[in-house]
Amino acid sequence: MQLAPSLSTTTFKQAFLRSMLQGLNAAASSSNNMSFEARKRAVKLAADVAMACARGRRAKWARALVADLSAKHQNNGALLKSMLGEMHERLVRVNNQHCCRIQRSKKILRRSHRMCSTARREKVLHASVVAKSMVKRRTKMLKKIIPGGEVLNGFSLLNEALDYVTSLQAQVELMRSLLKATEESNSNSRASSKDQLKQREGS
Amino acid sequence: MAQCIPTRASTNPSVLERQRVRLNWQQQQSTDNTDCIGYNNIESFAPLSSFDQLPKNFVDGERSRNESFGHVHDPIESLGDGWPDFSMVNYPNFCAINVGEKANDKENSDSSKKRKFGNFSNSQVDANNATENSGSSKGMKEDYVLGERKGATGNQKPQNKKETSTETLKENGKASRSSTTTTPLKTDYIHVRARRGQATDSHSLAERVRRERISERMRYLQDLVPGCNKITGKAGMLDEIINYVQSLQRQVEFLSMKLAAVNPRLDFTVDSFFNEEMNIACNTGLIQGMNILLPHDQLDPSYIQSNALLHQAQVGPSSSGLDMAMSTTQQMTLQCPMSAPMQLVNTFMDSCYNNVHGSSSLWDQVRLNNTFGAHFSFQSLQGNCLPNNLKTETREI
Repeated sequence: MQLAPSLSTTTFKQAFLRSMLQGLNAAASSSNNMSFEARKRAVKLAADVAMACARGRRAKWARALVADLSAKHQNNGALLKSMLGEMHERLVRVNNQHCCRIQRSKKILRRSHRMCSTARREKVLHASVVAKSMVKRRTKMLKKIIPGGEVLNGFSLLNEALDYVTSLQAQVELMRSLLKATEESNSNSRASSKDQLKQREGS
Repeated sequence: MAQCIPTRASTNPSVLERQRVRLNWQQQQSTDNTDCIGYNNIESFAPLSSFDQLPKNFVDGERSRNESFGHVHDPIESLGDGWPDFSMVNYPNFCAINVGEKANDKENSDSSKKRKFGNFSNSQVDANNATENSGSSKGMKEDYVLGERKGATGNQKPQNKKETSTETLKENGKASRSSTTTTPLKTDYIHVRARRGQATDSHSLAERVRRERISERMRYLQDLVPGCNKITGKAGMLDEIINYVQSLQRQVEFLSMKLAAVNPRLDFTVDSFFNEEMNIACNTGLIQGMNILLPHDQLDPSYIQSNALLHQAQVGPSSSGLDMAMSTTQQMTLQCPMSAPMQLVNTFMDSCYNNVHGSSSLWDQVRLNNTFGAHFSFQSLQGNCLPNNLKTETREI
């Protein structure tokens, strides 16, 4: 199976949860006067970073995700660094090399598109052409959605999409269970505090 | 073998008789399995039943393929003039059926040629679906089957236009294609076969390999993305994938919002989770939540084994109930994200309380874990929970 072995085993989820908790704690330490919006962003950041870190450097989308997150500074820089720890430099360094490649390929693409569009004037719209354009449009959309997908082609794009979907699923489940645990603990603490109050009033 | 050829005299033997001869010959060959397997290359057929034995035989088969080809060819030559090409076309099919499990009975009872090939492709498709994890040979198998189908049903009289197989060696940096099914060969070559009636230049072969890899990935994605079983075609699949990824991303946003709302101080620390009074309730919540993490990853064979262990360790009906709850809740969240969470919590709570009287071993470990942190619930979920693991984890923290 070509997928990296680190993806589907329990170790992935353990690492995920661990880094998630770490990130959340890092966010909590700097969250004294944060607005709701900021807190939500911090939580989301923690979740994304945890997902990328747990996946490791092997997945291209993980590296691209971290690069995107660090690029959008918006007060995220310091927080992100504290979350990532030592992984930060390693992950960010690799991405700078990729950026140059993107620019070069776009230039070539633009030139070739110009040539093709001037050459083509009258062409019958066969079904195959229509189908190809449909697929092309969708692959473009997919490239936008998947972090770091713009450089990838065909097979590798699908590969990364596969990876990304599985880890997104894991992320959603993890957050759901965290939410549930906190909700339950909150309700239980409320219940226990009510009981304590009643006891005190009774005695 | 000579006695099996009633129709040698006629130039156009009937289909039935041809098949009978083939079957008899095939049965005779069945005693000599290694040859058959040796002939079946990596990319052609990997029958399920003998899959484990195959690796060695593949190696031998690779090197001695020509020999086995020649070896097999002789008895066929002895059958007569019109036979050799025909049997060359059909031999691989029957070898595969022979080594496969149920197909044999079907083949023996069928009498029509077309149905025979239909069954063959079905059995291959079943084998394909069952050996999902062996990925790399799958795509090639199906194509080869289709090619044979086209070729065989198209011509009643065997025609000797081209060789049925031309091989080209292609260098490939990735070891992905060759990973699961052998290649003890040191260089990573992909052995590609051109189908009968197909162009054999390297470009089209390369394209075919590329297309097959892509379609293989699409199949995996089809399994991952829910509700894609009926969609055929790249555009529709890509549509579904895009929608699914977008919905997952939206879910993450929504859940992060909820988490921020529920916990205003963002303190997801150990203490808040695990007080001694609410030990049991919290742990069930987290454990059940973590348990649900597991059914999603279905691609790794090692995961499947660990999942099987887990299901054995836990109460059967409640865990299956959880799976069902998960699938329904997933659909719910996809459609109506706003109202889903409360329902989620309710379903989880119900299943949690049902599971309170579950396996005692799990509970003991839970109580042991209670002061050590959330991720210990993972440990308790594993089929083989050793106390050693707990000790090592404490040191890490």
